[in-house]
Amino acid sequence: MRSLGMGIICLACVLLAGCEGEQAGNKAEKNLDVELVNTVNNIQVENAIITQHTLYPYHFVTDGAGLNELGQRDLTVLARHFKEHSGVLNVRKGEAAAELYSARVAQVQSRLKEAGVDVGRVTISDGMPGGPGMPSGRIVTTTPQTSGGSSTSGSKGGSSSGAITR
Amino acid sequence: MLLCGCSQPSRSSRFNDTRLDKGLDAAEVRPDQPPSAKTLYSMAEILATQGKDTECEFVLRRCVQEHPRFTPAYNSLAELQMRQGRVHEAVAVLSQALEIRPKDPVLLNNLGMCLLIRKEYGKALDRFTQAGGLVPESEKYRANMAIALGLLGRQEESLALLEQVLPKDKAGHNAEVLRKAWQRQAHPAAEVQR
Repeated sequence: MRSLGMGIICLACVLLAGCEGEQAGNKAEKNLDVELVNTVNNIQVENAIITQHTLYPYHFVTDGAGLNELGQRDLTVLARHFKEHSGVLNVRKGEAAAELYSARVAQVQSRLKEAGVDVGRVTISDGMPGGPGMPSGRIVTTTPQTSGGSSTSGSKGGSSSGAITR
Repeated sequence: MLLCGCSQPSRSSRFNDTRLDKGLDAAEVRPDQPPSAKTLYSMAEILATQGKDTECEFVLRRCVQEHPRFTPAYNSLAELQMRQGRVHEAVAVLSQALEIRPKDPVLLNNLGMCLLIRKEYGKALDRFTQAGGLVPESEKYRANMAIALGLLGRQEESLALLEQVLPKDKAGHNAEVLRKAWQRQAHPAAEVQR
């Protein structure tokens, strides 16, 4: 009888330990799932950012030239892309005055340089994301003619050779 | 016996170790020990599921008062207030929480939602953008930004954000819904005529 009692207690301990182990396992599995979903979301969003290759007024501090936190992050994604590919980066003017817009473009260029992007290979314009292009008069920075043919123009015809398609 | 055996060393070591916080032991023994934030929060959740809003609010307020750094309580309290249409109070609660944790994306997003309901779209956009900057991979925060932008009449930006988080056809549909909502607000007379 005594040994039976001992046996039951031992069994209970083993079962309890098993449950605890299973709970910890479930938690780790759940964390892994959450991380996987976040990673997939991240890839999707990053792909969309590259496809659009456009910075909007919402990326900037309201009425300011500086990029907000989201703008800095999205530009980091674009900088990673432009390090390896040439192409067009659109900075939408929106309601911004000409002076403010120029300051924003300068800010973007400086950030790209800081990130190690060869800015000569990137044309910054006020074009539509992946659209049919923009009037040449609205191009702010043009690619130097001497930069070896990998550059793109801002004329009608839209997206560049830098695998930026929509 | 095995269970006793397991618990015995820790108990004895607790009493033997003079470096241990005596206050903790005293608190554990004390019968009137205040409930932890998690206990209060769980209690509030149970009350909420039972539909006991008054009691739930009382417990959440106590939780906020006694554990001011426990942000889920602020969110639940604001949610309860929003459910009851007390938007201004919800904004106050979330603003209070953000003074303690200014970089909490959930608080920022929830405050943005309250401001959206108050039709303060510009302020809502600021909060959603802050939340999006903190968790850039979050589709939810970008979608909420799109709503605020759409209701501000910034359709192009709204569509661009929707296209980042939704398939193109759904993004277009949602952008159109937002455009109509904005139009209804911007030109109510035209809507009435229609």
